[in-house]
Amino acid sequence: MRSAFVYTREAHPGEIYPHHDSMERKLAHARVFQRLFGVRRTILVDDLAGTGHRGFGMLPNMTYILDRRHVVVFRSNWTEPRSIRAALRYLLDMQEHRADGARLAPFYAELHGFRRVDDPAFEEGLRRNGPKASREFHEVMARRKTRESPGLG
Amino acid sequence: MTPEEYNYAVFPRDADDPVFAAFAEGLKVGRRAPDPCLIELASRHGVQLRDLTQDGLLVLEFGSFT
Repeated sequence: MRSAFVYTREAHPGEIYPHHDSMERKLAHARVFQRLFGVRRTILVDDLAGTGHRGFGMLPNMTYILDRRHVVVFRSNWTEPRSIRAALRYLLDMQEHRADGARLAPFYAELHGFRRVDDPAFEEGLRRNGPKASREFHEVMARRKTRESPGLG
Repeated sequence: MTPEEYNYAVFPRDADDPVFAAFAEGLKVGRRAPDPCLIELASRHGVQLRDLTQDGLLVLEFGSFT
């Protein structure tokens, strides 16, 4: 079993960590990410046009599990560790059953999950990117709130 | 999509809502995944994603510093 991180476009570009206008900048940001978060697994950097990211759905923090046929066996639109851990345990268990000679048949399942939200940590991340990142995010959220509750203006 | 369109300089007004909505009907389980060529940060060499799944399960997380 392997784990890798695909480095995509900046989700919240700011003055300090702006959007990528070159591969050099993208690689530099990936190195900062690796250093700041102590990432030990393989980091793979997507091309500037986001070819890989777009092929998998283009969401800011999704996770997939692929099997040895390169087939999708798990996917989630946000990375939520407990659900990934549970899916991995299940898949590795099934591999053991197969290795023991058990007769297996495929089936399909879905899950509507929940993830913890750490607002202070998220805010800190936005500020680290630069004031523009925080301002733009909150402007969009405020506009969304007004759209959803027009009477509150 | 050009690199300029993909790498937005300003956070999208729609907060990527259409992209989130499209995910459910996108690359579903049971389908073969794309096989992009990605740059391994440590070596700066190109890697075909398919090469990483040949030996078993691959957990693939997507994200960025920001």
